[in-house]
Amino acid sequence: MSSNQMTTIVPEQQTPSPGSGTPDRTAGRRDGHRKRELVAFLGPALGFYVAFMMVPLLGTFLISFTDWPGFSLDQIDWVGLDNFRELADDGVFWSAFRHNIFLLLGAIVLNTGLALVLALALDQHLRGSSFFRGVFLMPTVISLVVVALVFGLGLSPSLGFINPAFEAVGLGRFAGEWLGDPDRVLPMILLLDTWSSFGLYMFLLIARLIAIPKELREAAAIDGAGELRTIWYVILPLLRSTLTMVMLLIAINSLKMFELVYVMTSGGPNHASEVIATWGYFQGFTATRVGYGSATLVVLLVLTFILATIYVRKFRMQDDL
Amino acid sequence: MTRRASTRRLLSTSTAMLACGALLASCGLAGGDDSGGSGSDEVVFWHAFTAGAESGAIKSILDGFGEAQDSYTVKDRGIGNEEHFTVVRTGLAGGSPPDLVHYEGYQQTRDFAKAGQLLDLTDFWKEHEDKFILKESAVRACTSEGKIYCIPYTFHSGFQMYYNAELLEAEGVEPPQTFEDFTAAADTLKDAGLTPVSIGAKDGWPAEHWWMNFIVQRCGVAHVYDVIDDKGAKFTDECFLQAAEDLAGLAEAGYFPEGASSDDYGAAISVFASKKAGFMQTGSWYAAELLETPTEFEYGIVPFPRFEDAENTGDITGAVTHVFGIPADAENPDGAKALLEHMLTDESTATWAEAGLFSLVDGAVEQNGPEEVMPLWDAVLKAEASLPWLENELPPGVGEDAIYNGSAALVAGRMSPQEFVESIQAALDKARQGS
Amino acid sequence: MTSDTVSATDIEARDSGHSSRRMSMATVGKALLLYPIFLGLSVIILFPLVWMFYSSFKSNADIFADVFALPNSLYLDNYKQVFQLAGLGSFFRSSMIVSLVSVVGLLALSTTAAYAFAFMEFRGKTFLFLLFLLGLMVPPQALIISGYGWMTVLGILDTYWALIFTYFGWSAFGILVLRDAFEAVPREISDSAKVDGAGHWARFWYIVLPLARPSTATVAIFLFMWIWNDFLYPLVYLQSEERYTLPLGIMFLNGQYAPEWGLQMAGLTVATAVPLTVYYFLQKQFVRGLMAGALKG
Repeated sequence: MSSNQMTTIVPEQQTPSPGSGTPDRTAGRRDGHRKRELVAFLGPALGFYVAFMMVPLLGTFLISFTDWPGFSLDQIDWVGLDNFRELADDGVFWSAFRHNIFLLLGAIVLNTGLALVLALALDQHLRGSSFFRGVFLMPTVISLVVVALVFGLGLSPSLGFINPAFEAVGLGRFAGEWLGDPDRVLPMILLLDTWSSFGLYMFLLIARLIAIPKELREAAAIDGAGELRTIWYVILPLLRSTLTMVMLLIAINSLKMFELVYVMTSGGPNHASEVIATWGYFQGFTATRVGYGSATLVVLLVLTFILATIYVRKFRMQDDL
Repeated sequence: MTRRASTRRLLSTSTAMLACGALLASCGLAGGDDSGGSGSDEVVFWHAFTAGAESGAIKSILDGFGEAQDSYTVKDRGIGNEEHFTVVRTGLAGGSPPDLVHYEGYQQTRDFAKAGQLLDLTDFWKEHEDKFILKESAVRACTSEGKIYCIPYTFHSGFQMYYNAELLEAEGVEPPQTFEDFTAAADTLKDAGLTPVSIGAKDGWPAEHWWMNFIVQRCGVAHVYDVIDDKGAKFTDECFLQAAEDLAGLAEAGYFPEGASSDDYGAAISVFASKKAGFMQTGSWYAAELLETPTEFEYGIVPFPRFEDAENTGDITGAVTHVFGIPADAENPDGAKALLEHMLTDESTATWAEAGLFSLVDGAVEQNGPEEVMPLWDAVLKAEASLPWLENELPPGVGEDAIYNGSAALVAGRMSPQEFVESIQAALDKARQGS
Repeated sequence: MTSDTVSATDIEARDSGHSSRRMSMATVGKALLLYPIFLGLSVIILFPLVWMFYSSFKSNADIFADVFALPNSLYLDNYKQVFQLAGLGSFFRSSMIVSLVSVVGLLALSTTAAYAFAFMEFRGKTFLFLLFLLGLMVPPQALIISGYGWMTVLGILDTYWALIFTYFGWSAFGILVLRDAFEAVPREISDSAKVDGAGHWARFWYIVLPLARPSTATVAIFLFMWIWNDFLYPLVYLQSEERYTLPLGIMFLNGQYAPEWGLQMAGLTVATAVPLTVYYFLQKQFVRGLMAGALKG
């Protein structure tokens, strides 16, 4: 393998065709070898995954069919589908469900938009790009304790700076409660979620952008395409599969959203920002109904899984499988 | 740089990292066989005394135990408030509990005891009960089905009001004696453009405590227990509604800050400490904290002002807040008992009281308490009965859901008193159905 | 589209930005448009960090008196208390051990598995992929109670292994991201290697992995942050103070009825310094150097 071959980069087709294209011709003769290789590549990850993710998950799944209060193993009683029947009539659960859907849709728009725009902007390689890239990662580094304090106090009408800021620019009529107002709290949670997580998605997109050969852009420029046209016709198609993946991650993360809501509002005021994960946590840990709390989280998981499966199939992330 | 060189570098770096990790892990740093267990001479003690007055006091009590005897060493683990319960419960359910555990009593005692997770301490209590005062409250916090499962240690009172003496003086307001005085004072402060009362209702309980301070006056402790024990009374009874209307009335009068339902306890403290508010109601623990972190201004404490027409004038709010139990699976129950004995010695209770904490051992506070907290303690001793925090006596779906959320909504003016009491009774009915 | 040849100098030129070129009108326009956006966002993003830092130099009473004011004197007691915290050193060591071992192990696990998903054919691939996706969807608190029971059964409760193995189960993120990155490796390169007779291991190690280095570094950075900051699992799985990780250890700094904000911010400032340093090195070493190095071949 010469260095020439190594440095030859051929762009992907417009429609990405993931997976291995050409079947291995020597496959028939080396079936046993291939199996061993597959086990070596996939086995360790699968092993740890099954042992330390699936086994506890199975435990949670089983507990969801019991009325276990969570104090002693002797107290476990099988109650069949009772928890799930109760969930169907649980008003807080359904409003949490609606909140999750709102956050899901909002996060897909805001997070994808912001991450994509910033990734493309940082890809312009202006001076200081790598500095700003680092800055945009900060929300991941900062402890949620700080986030809760700064935004909790900052948004507070008694102590904060948001209302005075609105008043200072003549928008005093928008001042008011933020996290304490049932009508405003959910959009605030959405904004805070965007604040805290867009960096991840931006990084994933940048990592992919770095790998796009410069010649492609130059070729487009020579063809007379402007900057925006190059992005639209050359860059974005190459980002398609990564964007699909990023949107899947955003969807998953906003459906399982927990920590941010927990530290900012604990689901309040009066369940106005309750999401399924916080409700399940309240039931399981605070209300000592581990069975019911587990059932809540199992429903969340099943819901997410169904949505993800539809998405994965629809967007052909698996079209070669 | 060649490709191979860079790969080699990656390879060697990652090998080094893995080797380093494996080495550290295998040479004992990663723990190993003593998974949560303890030797026979080690007493494992889990508590939530991680900061403020409590943390210093518990440390010197534990040090004192080490000096007083040679048989046992204490291995203590302090865990912050919210997380403490998660850890205790997981530890109990998972079968590797500590030898001595601090928790909040009442409903928790009953939950733990019914699950067979606590050692019966009735005999231990009988041996020591003569030392205690406020025995009725103390026993109530630790009893499940006639047996006693824990040793009560600290009492916190909720029936007082902190005020900014300088602010009141500047506005020409006397510290209030009656509730009518208080509303008059609050009106004066409000007219002067100040926030009369600091409250952070976000987490529910600060608003609940206000409601409770009205309940003890409107209904009395006995009536509340008739509801808790299901003896025919209901949260929809007139006096509970009246107490809710009292609270809603304060909100309507504009005494609470605009951020009442956004702020948590810490923010409310900050509003009070930054001289933005005249009054704040909170527990006697704050008096102990003020000893450590004083305000920049002169503060004062008055008993919670009573309505002139209040039905009950002898009842207050306050609860046994720290209790100690020995898990049934504890490896060293004898060591735990020895530690408990030490915690009840005069020396230990004096240490506790000196930190401004209300020890339940007779005489400890009178002899050792700082003068700042003595008026609060006197009020506790004079009270006929005391109402513990409702969330400690009621199922979580009632206390930490309906009451927390409802009283916060009352303070924010987003729920009517009628809806409030009905939602609590509905939650209670539902919880009883379930069990 | 046509194939093109990338040289290492091109990559470097792109990466070091416009400094090697003359500033064109277009660049000026872009700068005028983008810098205000970058700066505005930076303020919103850095503010909590800055607040944490300067608040750590305020006494608790000062913070209560005015939450957002700058410190009026350099109050160092918070840091004194943090550094006097019994076991601060051991909290650091625990966090380093757990984070490093977990991240290195996870990288090994997820790069190989992602390679298998990208380049190997086998039955049940879709099923397995969806199974791994499931791991991304589980909220961690859903596994705490049964996980605790499982660690007790395995006899590794209160050891680093309980955490490390739990984190080893977090391979789904890396698999999802890296599979996408690996598949973007131009077919011609991996196929040419195949013609040369390179097996899967050689293609994985010499071609795919180096070319997907930006994504691998991204995965490493985020895994490190998540594991370093994780609070829930250490809280429940570790019981002995000498094995506490840093986020768990500095929890001592806050109390039930006594918000100790100044002290907490000092602790968190110390705890945040490490991930920042790690990020600095990872982004320098991996995103740039190795990427260019790999392409130079």
